[in-house]
Amino acid sequence: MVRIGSAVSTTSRRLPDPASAGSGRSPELLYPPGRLATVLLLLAAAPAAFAHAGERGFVMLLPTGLFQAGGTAAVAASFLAVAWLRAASLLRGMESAQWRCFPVPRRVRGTNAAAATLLVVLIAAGFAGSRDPLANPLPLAVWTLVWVGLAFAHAVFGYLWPHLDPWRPFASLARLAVFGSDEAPPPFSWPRMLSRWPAVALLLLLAWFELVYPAPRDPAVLAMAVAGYSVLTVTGMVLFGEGSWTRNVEVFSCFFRMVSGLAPIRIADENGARRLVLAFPGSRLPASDALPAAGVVFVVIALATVSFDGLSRTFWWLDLGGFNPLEHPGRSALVGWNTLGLAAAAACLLAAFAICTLAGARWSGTPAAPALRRFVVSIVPIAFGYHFAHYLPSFLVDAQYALKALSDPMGEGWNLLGARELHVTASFLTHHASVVAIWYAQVAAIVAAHVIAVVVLHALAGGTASGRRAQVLSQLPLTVLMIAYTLFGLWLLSTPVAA
Amino acid sequence: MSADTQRTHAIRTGSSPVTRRALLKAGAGAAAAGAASLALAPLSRIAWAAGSDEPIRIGFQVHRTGIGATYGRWYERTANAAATYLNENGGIAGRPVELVPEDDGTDPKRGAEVVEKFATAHGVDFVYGPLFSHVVIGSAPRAGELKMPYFVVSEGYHVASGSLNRYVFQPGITDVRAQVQAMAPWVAGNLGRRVTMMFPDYAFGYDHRDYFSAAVEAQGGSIAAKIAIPPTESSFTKYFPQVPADTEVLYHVMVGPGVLTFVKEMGEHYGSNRPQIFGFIDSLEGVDIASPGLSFLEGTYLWEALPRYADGLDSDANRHYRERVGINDEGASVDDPKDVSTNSHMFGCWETLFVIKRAVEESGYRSRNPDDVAALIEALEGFDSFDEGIPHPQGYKEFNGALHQCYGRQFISEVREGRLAVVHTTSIEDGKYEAEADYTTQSL
Repeated sequence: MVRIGSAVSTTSRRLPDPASAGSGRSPELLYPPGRLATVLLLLAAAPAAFAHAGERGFVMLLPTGLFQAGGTAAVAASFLAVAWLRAASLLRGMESAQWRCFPVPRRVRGTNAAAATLLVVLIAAGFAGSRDPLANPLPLAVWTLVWVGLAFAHAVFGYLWPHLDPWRPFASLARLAVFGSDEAPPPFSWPRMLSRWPAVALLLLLAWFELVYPAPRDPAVLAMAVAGYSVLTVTGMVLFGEGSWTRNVEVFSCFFRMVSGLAPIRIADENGARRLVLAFPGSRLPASDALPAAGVVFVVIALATVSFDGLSRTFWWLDLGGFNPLEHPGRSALVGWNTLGLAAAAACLLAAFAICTLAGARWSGTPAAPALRRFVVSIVPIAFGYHFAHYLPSFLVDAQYALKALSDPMGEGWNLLGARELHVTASFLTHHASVVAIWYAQVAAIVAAHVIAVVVLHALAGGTASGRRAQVLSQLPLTVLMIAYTLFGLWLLSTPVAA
Repeated sequence: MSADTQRTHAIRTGSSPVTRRALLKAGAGAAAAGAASLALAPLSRIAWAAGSDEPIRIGFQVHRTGIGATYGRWYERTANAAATYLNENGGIAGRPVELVPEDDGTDPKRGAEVVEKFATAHGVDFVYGPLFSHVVIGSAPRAGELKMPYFVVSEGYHVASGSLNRYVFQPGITDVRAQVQAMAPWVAGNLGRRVTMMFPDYAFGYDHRDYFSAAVEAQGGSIAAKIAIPPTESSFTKYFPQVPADTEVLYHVMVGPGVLTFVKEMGEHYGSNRPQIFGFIDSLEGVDIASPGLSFLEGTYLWEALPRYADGLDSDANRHYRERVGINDEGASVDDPKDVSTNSHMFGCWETLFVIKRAVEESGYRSRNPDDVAALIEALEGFDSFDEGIPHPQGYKEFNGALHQCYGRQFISEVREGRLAVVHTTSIEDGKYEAEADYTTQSL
């Protein structure tokens, strides 16, 4: 290799001489240094402008106002319809409307052990695999397959998490190592005063990490977070027992348990035989136990966080914070503003829920505490509806990346699932027909979620108030809030967004 | 590695990321150093030069997440195609090329962190790839401090303006100032001389407003009105009545999700009686021109840096480029014809990698020690042109070593039957402006 440094070796290289330029096409761009300051000023803000015209652009061409009005009216109408029904009859009807289907085999053993093995592989991949968050399986597994995909699965198939929980086998091993027996009782009982507040704190932390922290998908950062959370969880399970820990602290257990209340499918145990049972989505929610205060806050915050995720991308929110949505400054610049927004969203929704529920209790002359502890369950369908609508588009893209990444988790050239060469496509987010189809699915999810919520709320009202008038009054303010929230949700799906 | 332990495994090809492991697995072996004949027919099996199989590691700063993700997906695909092609044809200076991807989240602060990570944790030779100007502006100072050669594919004027530093180069795509200016002669000569500009009310729009208005006035034209539209606007009906009646050309550069609404409302306002309309493909990169709502664009004109449709530039090099990246004649993915590429920008990733190759080979660069880096920078600054061919499918380019910026031809296309048909190709002269910087005066 010949060094040609001699031709260009001086830092005081002359500007190109047009006369001596080869083929007469040399640059002729000469430079008066005095103009540099002007240029610097001019260029201080010379952003790119590649905000994408696709997905939301097509939605904005639809008559979104009509959809907002129609969806909101449908929820209001569903309230008027169920208000004529006796709450107790509705509750009985919902509970009895079940269809016993075919028997199902005993559950497969070893699923937890498989999940635990996968967890170890994923953490290792986070540290040692590709740095690309769309090629490394850890971010895709956590944010796409678990947080979104498993939430979808729980809303359909019920509470699967105890069979998929990757930490239980480690807790068993730790118990065996420390106490000599996996049957050993936990050394501590859960402090009653803590209730489920640790789960609330972890949900907020998880939401902040996902929505506000600049790099939640960075494989190494996430591997550290997952490893730390795993140590915490296994330690907690050993010290306080799996039951207490998953009920009061472990945020995935709490979230999936909450969502599974919606499931139209469950497996019933009938004298040792297992049978698949179908029911209306959400029909088992009214029979839920009254929640403690922390449980109430958990449900409301679950809705607040996913609502804020949608809101934080809107032009409206960025403009409110003084940011130009067409030159999105990146997450780092938004940490303060979005932290404030997340906290405000949680506080506002908690206040709105409390005020509406207490107002209903006051108007109907029923006790406030039972209403707060029971009515909150009606928010579960809405929280999941938002979760579904919000994550559906990104799930459809990232699930492809996940499949590809899991085919080669360590970037070693493996092809375990045969998808290594898959070309990930996101064309359905830029192609008119599929954008509209996805949008319809999102609108349907939001409206259906609110309709279910209104029905569940009416059924719940039967448990806290007697007499039809008192029942209707007790739920009226919260129903109005739900109708307003329908409008908000449909607006979120229609308004310009920056990402 | 000594000659007797040379490895001669085939290198991984296709669309797979070109990673260190892939390369090591591929077991690059002997020879082919400098054999950069860049023939159209790739070599199916190559071997690396004895003792020089340590890869050239290039940090690939990619917008994997955040607002730039749509572009990042195609930038990644193009960069990997270029690296794969290079590796099939002798690599760089006989060494395999390894791309080390890191996501910057389309976030300037993270961009700077990523550059630092490339230098300290990954030990790469160079960093390449960012598109969004604010990320480039946020990351470039760190590259300068670390004396890290930093190749951007941004088309921003920030490089040529002199506002960055000696380690930053943009050798693969023309800057926006030259692009905009190059439009003026044809627009004034063919569409009309009385122009109204509609642009978003912030710096991007101001670049167009200032550069184009000056350029069209230099052509003997005049500006009838400059209509700035607030970035948060989602309906534009109240702005069209502000367009003066004597307007012959409406120049628009709207971006973001409101673009389609803008086009639709423009169509509703004018009907069939409209001025000539000229815009930039930036508004519609990655979007099918035949989409509902865009029918009003029929008969209007758009700037393209590289024609989306294959017949817009019928050359061996362009056909080869499209085949390697995997885009069909309509500018969409061969794997999914609905997946429209960002064809007017991503070629910069391809071309930049070949400029890096040439600079490494001509400077004798071996590792990131100060002498080799200085030699590389000076070699780059000594370039004055890049010939059209496989390394430069977009076309011949002039390179200004003082400005660290390349200049190439541009294309103007008409929307016909929901497709883009090239009607004019500019000369490089059309985009030339008075230079305002000289990076070579900065010390290394």
